[in-house]
Amino acid sequence: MANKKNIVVEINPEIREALVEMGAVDAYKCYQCGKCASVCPWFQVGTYEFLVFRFPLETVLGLIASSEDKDDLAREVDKIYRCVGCEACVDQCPLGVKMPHILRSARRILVDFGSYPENLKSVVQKIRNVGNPLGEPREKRADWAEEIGVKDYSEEMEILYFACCLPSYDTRLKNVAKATAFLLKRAGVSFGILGAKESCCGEAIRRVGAESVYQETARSNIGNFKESGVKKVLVSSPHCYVTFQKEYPDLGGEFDAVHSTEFFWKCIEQGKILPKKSFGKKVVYHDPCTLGRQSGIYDAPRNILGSIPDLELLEVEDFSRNLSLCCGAGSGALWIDWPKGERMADIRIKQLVDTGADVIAVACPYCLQMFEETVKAMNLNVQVMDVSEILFESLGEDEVR
Amino acid sequence: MNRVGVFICHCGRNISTTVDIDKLVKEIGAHPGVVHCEDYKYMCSDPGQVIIKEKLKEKDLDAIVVASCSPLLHEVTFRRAIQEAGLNPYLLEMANIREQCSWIHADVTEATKKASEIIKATVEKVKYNDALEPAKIPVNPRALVVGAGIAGIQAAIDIANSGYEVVLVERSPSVGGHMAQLSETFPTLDCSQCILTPKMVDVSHHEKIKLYAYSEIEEVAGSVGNFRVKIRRKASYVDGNKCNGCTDCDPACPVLMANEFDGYLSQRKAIYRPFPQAVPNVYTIDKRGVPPCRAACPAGVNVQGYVALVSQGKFKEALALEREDNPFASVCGRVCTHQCETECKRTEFGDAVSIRAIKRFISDFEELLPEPEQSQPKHQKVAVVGAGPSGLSCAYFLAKLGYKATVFEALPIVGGMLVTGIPEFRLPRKMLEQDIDYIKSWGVDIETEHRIEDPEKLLENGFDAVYLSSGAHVERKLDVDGEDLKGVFYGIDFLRRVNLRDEVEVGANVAVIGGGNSAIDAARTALRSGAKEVTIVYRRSLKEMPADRDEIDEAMKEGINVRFLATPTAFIGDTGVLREMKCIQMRLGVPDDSGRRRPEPIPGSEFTIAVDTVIVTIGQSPDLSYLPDGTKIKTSKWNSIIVDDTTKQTSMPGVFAGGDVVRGPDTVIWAISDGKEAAISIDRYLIDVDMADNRAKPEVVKKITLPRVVKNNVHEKAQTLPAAERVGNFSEVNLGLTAAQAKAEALRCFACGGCTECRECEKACQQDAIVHAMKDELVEEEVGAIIVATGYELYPVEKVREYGAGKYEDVIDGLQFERLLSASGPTQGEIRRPSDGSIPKRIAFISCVGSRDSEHHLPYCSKICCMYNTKHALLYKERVPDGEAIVFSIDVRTAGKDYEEFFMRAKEDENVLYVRGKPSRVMREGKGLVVWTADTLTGRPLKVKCDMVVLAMAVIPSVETTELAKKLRIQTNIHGFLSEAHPKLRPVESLVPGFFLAGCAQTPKDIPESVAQASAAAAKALEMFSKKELTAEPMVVVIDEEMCSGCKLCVVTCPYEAREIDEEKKIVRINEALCMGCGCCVAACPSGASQQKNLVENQISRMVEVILGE
Repeated sequence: MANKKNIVVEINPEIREALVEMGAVDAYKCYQCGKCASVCPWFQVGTYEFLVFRFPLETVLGLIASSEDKDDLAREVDKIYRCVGCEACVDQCPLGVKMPHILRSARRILVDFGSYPENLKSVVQKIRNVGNPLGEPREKRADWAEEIGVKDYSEEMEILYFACCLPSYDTRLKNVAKATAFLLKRAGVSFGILGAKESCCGEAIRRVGAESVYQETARSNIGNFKESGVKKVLVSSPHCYVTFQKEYPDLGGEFDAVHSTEFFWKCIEQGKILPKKSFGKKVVYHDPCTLGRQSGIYDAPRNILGSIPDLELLEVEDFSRNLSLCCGAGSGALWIDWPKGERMADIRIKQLVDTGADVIAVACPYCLQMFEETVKAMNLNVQVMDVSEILFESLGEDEVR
Repeated sequence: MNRVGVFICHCGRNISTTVDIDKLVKEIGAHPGVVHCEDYKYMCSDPGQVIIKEKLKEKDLDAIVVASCSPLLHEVTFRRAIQEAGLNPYLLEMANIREQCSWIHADVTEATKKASEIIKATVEKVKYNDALEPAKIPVNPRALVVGAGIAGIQAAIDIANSGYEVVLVERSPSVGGHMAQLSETFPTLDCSQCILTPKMVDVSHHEKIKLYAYSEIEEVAGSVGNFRVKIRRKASYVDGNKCNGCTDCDPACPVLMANEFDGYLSQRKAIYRPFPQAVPNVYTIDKRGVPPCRAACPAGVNVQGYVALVSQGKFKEALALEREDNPFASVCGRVCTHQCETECKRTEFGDAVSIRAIKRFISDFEELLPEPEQSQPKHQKVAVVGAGPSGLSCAYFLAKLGYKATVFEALPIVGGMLVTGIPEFRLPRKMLEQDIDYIKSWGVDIETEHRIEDPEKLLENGFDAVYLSSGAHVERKLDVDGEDLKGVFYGIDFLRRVNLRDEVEVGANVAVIGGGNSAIDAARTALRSGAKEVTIVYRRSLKEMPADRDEIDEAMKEGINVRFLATPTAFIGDTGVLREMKCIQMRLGVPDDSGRRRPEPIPGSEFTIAVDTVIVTIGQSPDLSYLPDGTKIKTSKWNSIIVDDTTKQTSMPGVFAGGDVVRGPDTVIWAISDGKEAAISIDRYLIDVDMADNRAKPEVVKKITLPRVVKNNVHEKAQTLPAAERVGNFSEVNLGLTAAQAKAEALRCFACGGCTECRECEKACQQDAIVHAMKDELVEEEVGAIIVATGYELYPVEKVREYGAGKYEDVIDGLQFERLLSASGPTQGEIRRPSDGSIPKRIAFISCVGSRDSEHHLPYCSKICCMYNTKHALLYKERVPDGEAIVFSIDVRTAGKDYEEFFMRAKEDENVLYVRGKPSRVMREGKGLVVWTADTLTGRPLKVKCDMVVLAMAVIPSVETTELAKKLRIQTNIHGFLSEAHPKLRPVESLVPGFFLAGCAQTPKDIPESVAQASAAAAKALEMFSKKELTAEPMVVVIDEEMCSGCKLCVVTCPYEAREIDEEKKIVRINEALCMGCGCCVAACPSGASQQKNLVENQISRMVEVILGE
């Protein structure tokens, strides 16, 4: 009978207290209605059992990561890193339980013990070393901007454009940064970038549980922003947006963050940008979790698309706005490869393509990257574009200098 | 008072844990004027009271302070105690050191200091108290019960059976409340109607009960024992004494509205009674106000009225109703710009009701002209100048009033722009003549080829008033080179020549400049007049084009090209004959005043089009050459006549004007509207009544009832003549709706305004009971007690978007399911799906929808849903034995007599399936629905296919409860449920004396509890009636007559209307029976003349001084 696992367990107050200490305070509140389990993207994936409502009870009983068995523990680590932080459960929870915070508290403990996925360890290291998850050199961060003559930020400028790591380095996503910069120029806005002095906003690694590296990175940004006299930051990524707006203030960084879709819609309303050129395609807009559910920005991107001549805007029935399905890249999941058949992006792309759209519009670099890869892998005849890219195209070629 | 005794209570551990009692006793004992101070564990207990009584005598105390809890709890207790010991009860004060000190502080030192200050201040106050005698108030032993659901009915019957009179007020047309909607009741499954209806009949026949149905509380004045209540008896437009409930009116009424009693699952007429067993058994007409379509119509046509009549196949009646406000049915049925459709509520969901097509249908349907009933002829004569739509309308409405109207027309033909400007393929001459013949049948004279040279003279030549409606016929020019070339036409001139069958030379390549309806008309006319290629050149884009979209589409179908974003810059010709047209490309800039984006030329984008005919159609202006020099009629810089906006009178009295001569080129309906308004003014002018009085546009109806799920969002389309058959002729293109289409289209109307006053019910009613002119009536009743039993409603399903209610017809709420179960419901008790009438084989019942959801909805448990879900599941299984009932719940709460047994019966006997988990989504899947959830017990994610979903919506206070609570100034909790005076000991009384609570207005409860609470409230009222008089607190306000200046500030401040002005002495008088001692007047009085007994200025300042340590 040796090695037989005892399935009868005891309550473990030490684990409970550690988790609560790390921020799992909502665990006591949950009344186990289980609504979270069927709003979770994993429900739609359907091939991986992810019973969200178990976590609060496992927290208060002190059962999370309590197993002595190595394989059990590995499975549990895998499970804890399945949460993509889309907050669909938070949005729908009758009691407002912040489930991702409960999981983040577990992740913080795992990171402290070094027992977390290798891919994520490497991302955390790269951000610590060179300020971006791709491991690209700092000096190259401003390369995209030099190509089109974007200036360095200086104090008298109105706006710091913070392009996010992916649009700064990735060959495909650079186009988003460029389109945004062109649009800013067209609107007559004075803006610049901080280039090598920028580091990743740190959102993803904070959600991964690497709190100390997050704080280190965030403090470096806050220091550089302050030193350069930054007041207003325009971002392309909703992830940077929530971090600057809701999390940097805790570290003393009070900056006015604005997402590009909000900013450009205002420009259109004020007549500073005039979409003129006919687009001539059907476009479906995908609500990024972090822009929609987590920031409440649903209308600005739709308004922009709606103002473009000859653009037919489509919606995913049943799964748009706050009920949008996650692309599967949040909370570090962009760097985790789940087996085929367990990818949210595959499901979401199908929903989007089924609308009959020619173009999938997004407003988040993570979604853009996820969907580009998925479209390629599935060999689909659909374009994936950022809202800023579509808006830029609609200015008409004669407008570009 | 200088021998004060202070008694400090520990309140068990409630006070003593945070307040150092020993220290307090020492400190207070040393305070000036305090001759005795002691403490006790429970001062309110019998031994505690004995201590006070004994010490009072022993130490010869003349004032007492008890430092303990809130006076709300025990002031009465202690006052009675000292009264028994021989001291005036008003020489006792309570110092609240529990609620205001020990419960809210943690620091002992600070709390003790504060307690000491509170007590010392109270001691200072009591020192100056007077011995008072309570006032006696007579009790009016009559009760008002508000709300006649089961709780109100029960309370009313209990009081009436005890021999006291009851006034019962119910907001809806019948008593019965929600219980009348229910099928069976849990846990016994009694038939709801069977146990309720006898009670409903009781209240209507009881000699002691005065029932006001369809009435609301307007105002309550007075106070406990003597309330004066104003009741608004809402106009039902049916005389309740004459109506015998015979139902004759029901089939006559054409207006179909969503039936609220059936949870909007069926329709009822605008004249209705909620259900056949209604008490009182009389009909009510539901008038909501002016519907958006009618409000949008410049001529105020009763749009919803004739649409409703069409929906019932009453085509002739529809036409007659239409013509009451507009004689041009055929014309407007074809060419009206239909603002009614723009404002149609349907546009929020899809296509507007095709009102114009319906109008056209009824005008086409007319076979014979009905002989109009002529009015009493009047002697005055009116001249109308110009026989266009405006002039003819004015003459028509004047003739209807009995005036002799003569219309003078310069052309040989009648109709103005309708005949010269609109081509026959849109408005056949025959159809125009039908309208004109109708106008003539009213005795209107029309003199053609009679140009009026001086309209002012008409007043001297036997006419009593004049209406000028000479239109706008001067063409506007483009102002570019070459406009004088041969081959350049102007639109209206061109159309006139074609319409009057003049010879017109149309080339092969025609360009039409402009984007209005006339431009489209000109283009299509040119095509029919021999042109090979017709191009419309418009400077903006399609979106900004003012022409009717249908007309643009038809033109394109006919092969007409449209060149958007371009404008001509010059016409070029050879020897005076047009050869080509130079144009420039435009782009759209920022919006201009009209809201449309302003076109601006793109430099260097010029291009040329080869043309031999150009028709410039960019507008016209009036020709005022017939006005004499030095005319008294003022004109504008745009060469139009200026009139008063409301009366249409010009600057010359007796001369009125309207239509295009005032507005410039505008629509037919505005021309008609002007004619109609001018006719009203002319009538008033001739009988010398204020012309401007009471002519404001009526307000649009606010409360519009929509079906729960809006369907049929696409309108019926009329057939059109195939494009190939249109060439070379002027046959009408639009072929109109068929009768079946017209009816179907009319049935799409939401009936926003309710009753349309078509008066079909009047014709049907043999009792002469219909009174359309009825007005609300205010009655006053005097009562001594008020029982509020205003009930509940369900939280709106639309607020829970994820369950698809409002989107899917087969997602319904619990009360709707009751109606499906009910033998008197829309399906006579058969369970059928609202979408297709099929019998659902699996129903999902979802619990806690809106309840127990503090994040999005309501935090509380609605209490009744677990049980009615169980009942619904059980009854469904009984009706559909091969069906499956699945209840999704978080908990099943069955606390009640026989409730758990009922729940087990559903599980064991009927095999109702309970899944533990809250669903997250309900979506369509094929013809059915799918519920997404997880079963939290097995830990399995679930997708459950079903045919129907029933949502157990949260219970919320009725709108009436919320409104009434505000009006009566009685307290509610944050969710709007009425607050009881004490949650345990006084559960049926309000905090405001004289008000009692019953039923769900207080909190969600089931029928047995509601009835029990109603009887309890009745008992409380009866307790009051058993006394001849009540004692009232004597702490009322007194007026120092010397100081009062009679400024009346306190009169308006007093919430209880307890003050009036003594006109003789010019000072204020207090009605002590009404004064509640709230103190508002004391604060308002600038001179300090208002003083509340035992709370005079000196007492307050002493208290403040002590607290400040002075």
